[in-house]
Amino acid sequence: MRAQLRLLAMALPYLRWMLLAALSGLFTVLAGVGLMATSAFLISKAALHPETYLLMLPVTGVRFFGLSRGLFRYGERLLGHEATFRILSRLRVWLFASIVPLAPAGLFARHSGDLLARLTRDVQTLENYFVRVLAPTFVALGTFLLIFIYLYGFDPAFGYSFAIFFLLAGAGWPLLAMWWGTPAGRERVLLQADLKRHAVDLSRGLAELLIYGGARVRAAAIEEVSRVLRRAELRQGFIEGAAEGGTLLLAHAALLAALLIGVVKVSAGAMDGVYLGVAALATLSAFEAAFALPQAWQTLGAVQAAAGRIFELADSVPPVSQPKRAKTIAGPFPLRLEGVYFRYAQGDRWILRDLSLSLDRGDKVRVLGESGAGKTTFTWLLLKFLDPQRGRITMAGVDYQEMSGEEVRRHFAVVDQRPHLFAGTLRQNLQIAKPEADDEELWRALRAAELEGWLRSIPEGLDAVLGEGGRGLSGGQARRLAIARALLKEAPIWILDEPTEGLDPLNARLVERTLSLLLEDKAVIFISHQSSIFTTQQVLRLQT
Amino acid sequence: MKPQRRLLGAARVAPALLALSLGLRLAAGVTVVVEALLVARIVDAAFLKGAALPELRASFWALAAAILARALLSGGAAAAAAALSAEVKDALRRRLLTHVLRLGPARLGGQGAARLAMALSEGVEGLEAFFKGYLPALAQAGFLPLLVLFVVFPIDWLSGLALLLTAPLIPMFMVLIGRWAEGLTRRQWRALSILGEYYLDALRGLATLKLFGAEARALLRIERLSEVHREATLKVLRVAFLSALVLELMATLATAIVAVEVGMRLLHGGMAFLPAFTVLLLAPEFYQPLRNLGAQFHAAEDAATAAETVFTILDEPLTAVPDAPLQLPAGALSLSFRGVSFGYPQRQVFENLDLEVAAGEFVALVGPSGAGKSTLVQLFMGFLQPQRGQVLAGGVPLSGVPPERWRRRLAWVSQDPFIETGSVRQNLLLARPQASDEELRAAAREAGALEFIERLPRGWDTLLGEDGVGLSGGQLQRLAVARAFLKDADVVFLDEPTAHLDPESEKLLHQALLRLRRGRTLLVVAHRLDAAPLADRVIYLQRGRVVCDAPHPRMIKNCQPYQRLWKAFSGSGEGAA
Repeated sequence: MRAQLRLLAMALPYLRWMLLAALSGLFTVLAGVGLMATSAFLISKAALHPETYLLMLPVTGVRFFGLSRGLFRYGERLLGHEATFRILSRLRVWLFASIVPLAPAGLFARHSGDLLARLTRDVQTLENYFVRVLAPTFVALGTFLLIFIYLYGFDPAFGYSFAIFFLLAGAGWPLLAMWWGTPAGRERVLLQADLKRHAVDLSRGLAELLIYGGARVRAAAIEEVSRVLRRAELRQGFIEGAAEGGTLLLAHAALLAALLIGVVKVSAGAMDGVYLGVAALATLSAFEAAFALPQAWQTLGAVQAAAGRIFELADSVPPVSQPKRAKTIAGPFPLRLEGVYFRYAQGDRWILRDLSLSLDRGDKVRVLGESGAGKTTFTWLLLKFLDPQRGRITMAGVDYQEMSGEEVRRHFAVVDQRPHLFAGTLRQNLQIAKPEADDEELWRALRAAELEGWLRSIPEGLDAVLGEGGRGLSGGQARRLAIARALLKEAPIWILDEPTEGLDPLNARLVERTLSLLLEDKAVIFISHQSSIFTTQQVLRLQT
Repeated sequence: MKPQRRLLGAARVAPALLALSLGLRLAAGVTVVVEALLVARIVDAAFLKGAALPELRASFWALAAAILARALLSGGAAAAAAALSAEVKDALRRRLLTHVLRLGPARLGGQGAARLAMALSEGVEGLEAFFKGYLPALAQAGFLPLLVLFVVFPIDWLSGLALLLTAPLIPMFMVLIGRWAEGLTRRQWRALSILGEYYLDALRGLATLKLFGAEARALLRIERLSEVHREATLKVLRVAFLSALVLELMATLATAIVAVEVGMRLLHGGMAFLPAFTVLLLAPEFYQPLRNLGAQFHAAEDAATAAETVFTILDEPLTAVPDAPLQLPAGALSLSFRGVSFGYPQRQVFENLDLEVAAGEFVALVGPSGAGKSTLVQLFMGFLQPQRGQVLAGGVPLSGVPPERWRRRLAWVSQDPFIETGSVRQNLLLARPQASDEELRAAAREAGALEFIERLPRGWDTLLGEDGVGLSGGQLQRLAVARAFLKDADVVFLDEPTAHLDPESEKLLHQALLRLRRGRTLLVVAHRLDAAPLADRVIYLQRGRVVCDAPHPRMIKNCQPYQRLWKAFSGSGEGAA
């Protein structure tokens, strides 16, 4: 509920759009009611052969409702999406801004790699909030009230009968069906996840499973899950059928009730017979608004879960302190670590213990250690993605505690095992490092990273699109591109984290040679268990 | 609409349910018309004929029955459609599994594993929208309007004509606007998807952005792109939603026209109230199914797209089972290619290639990536078939040997060994489910894996997560080698890891290889040349041709490309055997 309130608060600036869209939706339903009710009135009145002019108004009404409903529907769809996109845009920006201080250490400590995928899925779920939850609820409420008042005007009995059936069809029965269907639905979700896991297992290991003879058993296991899933779907389908049939029954029972009341009133002379058809058709056509509610209930659950997860993440405390008045420094040297201790949680063993290091212009430090010895943690401390629990890190005598993360990272260039290349052009990828760099500068960096030859062979040049749907890069090329990008930053300290990991020996050798030439004068911290790129001066050994 | 016919074809497994779900839907359509007739009758009687409740009792009971029948039939139709969808999906999954077990991994195309998993889950799941949404809507749209016309024409042919003439306008406008919107969407799609993906991309690359101090710029860009994205999307939607506008407009406007038309004729005595009111009630029911169909249209297209992943796999032809299965000789087997040609649709890999590996020989296969090393192993393992020429084992052409028979003699150590969630023991037992603990230990010892297994927190019962979390690459590799020992295969294919192993792991692996080769034919794809010096013979493959073929010491002297590779390899700090 709290999550939903926050979500609503976030949507508040777009109240105008939401209101317009919701009103359009309401008018769409009302136009439908109006069309059927006015038509019924027109035909009933005409049957009494009155003067023609008496029918002018209902004829105009019928024409108006007939024309306007389509326009209202169009407005509802378009305005609803307008509102959704505006809310979504704000939500995305806000979410991104709240995650920036967390990345990467604050995200890593919480979850494995799936976090971001979940995050985008959750944002997509929220997309439905307005169009599928808020607007239909508003429309149903508005229709309920207005039609109740309208029918009450003919006779209170019409109003009450309508109200009861409307509430049952819109809320009572669907909520009951939802409650009834929840176990089957949950079982189905679990089984689908199960099936997916089994399917991934079989797919990943198909060759080995076929050779070692385990494939048939695994396939049989999937078939078994599929069979159980089929049964769960049958159950769920039955409930869905009951939900659909029940809602339909309630809506048309309302029609029947209206007719009953009307027949009794008319035969008793308490109501003009002209209005019999009007009351009956107005009742039935108002149920259009109730039919949208079951989906709203279902979507609401998903939206709340997604919003809860998003807010929980956005509210988490960044892993580094941000000083109130940050100091800036001219140059980073000497960079010193003094008795640094770090662990991820109170009570864990120390990952880094009493670590000290001093780095000056041109120094080269090689960091060694098994996997899990804290090499990544070490670089995150250097980059102020994490704060040490004990000891301190200083640049030119200024404590990291007194500097902002941006100021610290300004002095570093990093090439790691999996450099992230963004979908977009080559130029855009390079300009991340230096937005104002001109083509001349970009070419220079590419030349230094020995990518010039490759680039000359591409007709699009710097405008070549990388990433999905774009030009694929080999591992070596991606690494070189990352080097070119790091070069553009013109930072005095370089961190190389396994820069040749995953490359074949030939390419690894070439990348290493490039780096050793380029970084001769720079201070370099490099993590590598396989090669010595530089004639190393210091070795830092991290131990588990 | 060929993919849709294909989807419909998938319902062959449950013809009764298909008939039931559609039959109930159509029967529900009949009750719709009956209900309208009864309502009109009641209103007419009470309004104009002065009938009171007692005289109308029968009509009311009939109406109640019609409404109940309508609810039951509609609910039943929905349940039957769900059942049909469940049956079809289950059957399709089984068909897919049977097919894939015979097809093998190599012919699933690039990213095969991901595609198969996708097809089995999301792909099959996509069919649901078709069977639960589109198909019933299609049946209803083909039936109910005709039924309404059939009832309206005898009552009032003029109104019937009005309905008949306006009906084709709806699909016509839908198609016209649909085409227009589709063209517009396609033109903007790429731009739209790039904009949409930037957000995810920026989140993934957030650490990189922070390293370059670019996070504030990225935020601005997201803000701006969201704005551009919104405007561009709405431009498309403005057209796309026109179809909704036209549908709604046609349906309501036609109802309005019918209402005014019958009202006027009623006024001038050209028509009675009962038929007029009946026509008014039936007019919306005439258009409703067409509108439903329009609403389901996109779901159907999405279903067809999702199901495509399923059908592409099912369309991969299977190789014929040999009529007269051949026997393989016992013991270590020789391997050979005789004039083998093989290519993928995009590129030819081998052209008339000959290759011999003697029984019991240890051969290392080296060469640049893309040379065809992995393809060659896949051909030997029988996961791919040559387009021309023969692949032989023990002198017997493999095309004549049933795959199971051949695979019983093989072991494969992939560079990314398959580890499933379960204990170390379970993972080894994959190779021989009935092996005793003693045999397990022996195999692990031979593979140099025993020591680390017993040092694990819970020894043999230690759980390995997905992808064998917790074990190093070298340990995983030795675990996979232990499988080969346990199976006691006659031919072993080993794909050396491309990633670097620590020196200790590498030493243990090499020792294991030397034990493994005793009495077996061993073919190693040596990406990093680690194993090359151990082999009896090294084959250098380039663009699908054997460039050099000699023992390692001779290769170093005489084979230039190998020399270069070796220099790079031993120069990078290790491996000088």
